[in-house]
Amino acid sequence: MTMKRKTELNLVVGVNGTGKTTFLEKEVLSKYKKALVLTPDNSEWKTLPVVRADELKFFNGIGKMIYTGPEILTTISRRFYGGALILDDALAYLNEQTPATMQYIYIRRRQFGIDIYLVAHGLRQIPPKAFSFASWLILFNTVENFSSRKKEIIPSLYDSIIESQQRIRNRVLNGEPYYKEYILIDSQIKSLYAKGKGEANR
Amino acid sequence: MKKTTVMENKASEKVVDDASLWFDSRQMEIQDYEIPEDDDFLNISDLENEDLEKEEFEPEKPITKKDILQNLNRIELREPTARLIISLMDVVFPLLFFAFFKVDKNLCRLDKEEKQILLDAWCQYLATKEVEMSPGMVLLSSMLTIYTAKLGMAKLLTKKDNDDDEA
Repeated sequence: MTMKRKTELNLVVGVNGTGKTTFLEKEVLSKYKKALVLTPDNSEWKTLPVVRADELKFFNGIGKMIYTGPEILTTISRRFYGGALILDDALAYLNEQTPATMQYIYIRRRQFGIDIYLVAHGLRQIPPKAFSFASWLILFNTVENFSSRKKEIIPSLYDSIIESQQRIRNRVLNGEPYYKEYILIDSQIKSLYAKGKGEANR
Repeated sequence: MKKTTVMENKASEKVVDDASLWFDSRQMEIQDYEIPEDDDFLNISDLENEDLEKEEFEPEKPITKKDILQNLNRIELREPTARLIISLMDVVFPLLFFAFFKVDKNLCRLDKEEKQILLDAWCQYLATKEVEMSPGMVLLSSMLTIYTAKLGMAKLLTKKDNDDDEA
């Protein structure tokens, strides 16, 4: 019996050239039958076919949409389901979204079976609330000071992020430019996984 | 030494555990879900009880050459900042010792080796705490400290001279 899991909000953070796109291509897009990349830059994700808004409801496979305005994400939230949605360079357009769209990203995605990958260049650019709803932080090398977020997220998580950030910096300095770490934010995932494993073994 | 090794092992085990869990999760099926209908999804009345106001966060700004130069300037200022702190300490502490304990202030000054030890310690501290001071702040604080110390010293010596004259 295949184990089932709830959908996830993954925060993928790292400066340019740290391997975020390669990671998303190899470890994310290749694992899904259905995935959509939303990018503000037409020159990115060149190998992916462009999906039109009217094709979205019956779309299957891997494709991309170019962000031209807030209505694009509204359309996606009404028509896309059962796959991965990669919001590439998300902070370039997230602040233009309505509360309803933010609610979709944080909560309603579960109802429609969507894993979201929110991609950003720096930790400080992630909206504070995103940490409350996130499942994972996949952290690549970052160069900013994250201390302004200290009061906005729980201390143990903050400490864990800072430790990882420092470890990643050291590994990058020691010749591993694409080193990254996976930080579990939603601890329920671990207990559900353990429970699922236990049931599967019975 | 042993303690450090254990801590490092624990940290790497934790990382490996979380990473394996993430990879295992990719192999699992997503729970049952609904297919959205165009008109019923974004019902704004649903938001009334959700308290999800539009968030304020730092929008992404393009990094300019000026930003890079400013950041480099700040990083490179750590050693001069540490040097300045030590020079000020070397002025202020002997004056304070002279004022309060009446000891020869020249005997309380730092030698070359002591200055180097303190310099390394301050550089480490400023780097770890990510203390960033702008060149203007360094200049202003050094002027304030030197002149405040000089004023204190001048007042003290003037008072001493007056007392001597009166005596």
